[in-house]
Amino acid sequence: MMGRKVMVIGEIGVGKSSLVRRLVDDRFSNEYQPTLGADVYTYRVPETEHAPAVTLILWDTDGNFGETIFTHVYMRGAAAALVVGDISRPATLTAMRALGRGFASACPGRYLAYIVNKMDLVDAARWPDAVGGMLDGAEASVTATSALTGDNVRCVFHDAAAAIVRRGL
Amino acid sequence: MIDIEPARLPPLVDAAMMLARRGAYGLAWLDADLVVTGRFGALADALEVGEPAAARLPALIGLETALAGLGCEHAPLSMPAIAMHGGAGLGPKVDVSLYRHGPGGAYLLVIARALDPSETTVSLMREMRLRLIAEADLASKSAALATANAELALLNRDLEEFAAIVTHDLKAPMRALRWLTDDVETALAEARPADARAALGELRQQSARLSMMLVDLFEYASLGRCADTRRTIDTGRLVADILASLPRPEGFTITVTGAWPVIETFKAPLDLVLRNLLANAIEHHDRPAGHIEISARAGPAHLHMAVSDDGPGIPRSHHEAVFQPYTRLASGGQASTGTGMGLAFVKRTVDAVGASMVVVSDPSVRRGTTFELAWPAEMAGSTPEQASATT
Repeated sequence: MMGRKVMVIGEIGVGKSSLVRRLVDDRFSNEYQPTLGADVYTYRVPETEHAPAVTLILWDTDGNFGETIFTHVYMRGAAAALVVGDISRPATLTAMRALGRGFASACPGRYLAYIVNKMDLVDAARWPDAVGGMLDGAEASVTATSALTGDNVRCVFHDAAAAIVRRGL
Repeated sequence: MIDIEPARLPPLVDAAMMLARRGAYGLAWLDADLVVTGRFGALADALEVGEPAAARLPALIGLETALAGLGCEHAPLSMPAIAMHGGAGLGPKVDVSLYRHGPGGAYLLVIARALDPSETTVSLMREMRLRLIAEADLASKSAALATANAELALLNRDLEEFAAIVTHDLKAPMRALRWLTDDVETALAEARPADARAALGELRQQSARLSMMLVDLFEYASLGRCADTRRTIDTGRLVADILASLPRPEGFTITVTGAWPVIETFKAPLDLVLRNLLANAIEHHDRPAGHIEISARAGPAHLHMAVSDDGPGIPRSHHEAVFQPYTRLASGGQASTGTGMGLAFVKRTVDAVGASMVVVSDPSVRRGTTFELAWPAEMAGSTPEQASATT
């Protein structure tokens, strides 16, 4: 098994657990259950024409860590981080950028991607307006997702897997 | 029997204390390659001897380097409160600690049931999330309110401007209409049908002009609130289209110079601005023949354009006034056919798209006027080479 550790980080209540559960179990719950510590999931990305199969070890973390997550033992050995923000709460997007920069600094060379979640709450065609200039000059790719509808959820994790294999992380 | 003697006492005391406090636990011994060599306790049942520990405990994946650097005299590598989903069946949350077990590189793995978070902790976290959402909602509503207030202020300013124009500038043509109807009435009463017909003709012209002014005024009021979106446009093609449809007297030449790139920008406003600047240069020229030059240069974030004419120029004292609605400066005594709204349209559009414009003209020094524009644009392709064409 080629297992690679992927951190899912972001402010409290942005939908980190919902994204992971949508990916792993293909389900969504409206009932909010805060994550205490970390929930570890495994998700197998099947082999493709261009890349071997890879198992992602997804660390769904407690949003209360904030930027202290980078000094925490949870972060050890991470090959990638998916940093999540909530489109309906601009402050979480600012925090998302700060976390992204923190990860790039703490784990240089590792894969980083931003996820703007809860797109079901806004008009998809207008989402660039909704985030204003907050994502200008982003350090990594930005993907809009909805854990509620499942839009783009698989592709952000599969992209991460492909990048991990490509970069040999 | 597994020999655990090489491990120093303090870490093991620490482990023992932890296990003593918890109801459920598991112990496992791992070799230097993290393969399970022995296990004990309910929470270690899922681990298989001879198998890498990470096979059932995926949380250990990625930690190889960190573990290799662990000294047996130091604190363990501890991962508190983790839940393994779909894996080892260790229960909801466990604390996992790895102790270096002597210089041979073996490890002691300790798994203990994590302390359940109190109801208070969970409800505090729920409260925190609700508060954060409420704060974000409030911030969003405040921002929307501020935007609405700014728009309202703009609308009020527009309304005042509109009222001022209607009450002042439209009085003259309205008065003219009234006087012309008086002229018609008088001419008819005095049996002067030719004069009546002439007055009616003028009345028709004034009425048409008044309609044109009102249409322009409505368009002016609409500018800045139009929802245009950025699109890819070939500015060279745009200028060619404008020139093809721009009426101008014989003897007027227009030269297009510089490099006109393909850009991402607002098309309709750019069309309006260039069209009005060119029309203004022709309309307010004081001679039957004239020359206009329109040029472009691509910058990193802007397309820099200039429209220059060899007309009478604009006195410096009028550089701001020309952008006021219904302002028409004298152009060599010639009657102007416009409504005086062209440059007002230009200024308002330039402001609406975030462009900037400078007027360069001083008739006391030399003839001619240049309007220099810095238009926000993203280059969508390679910039063409410099070219020049006169029509």
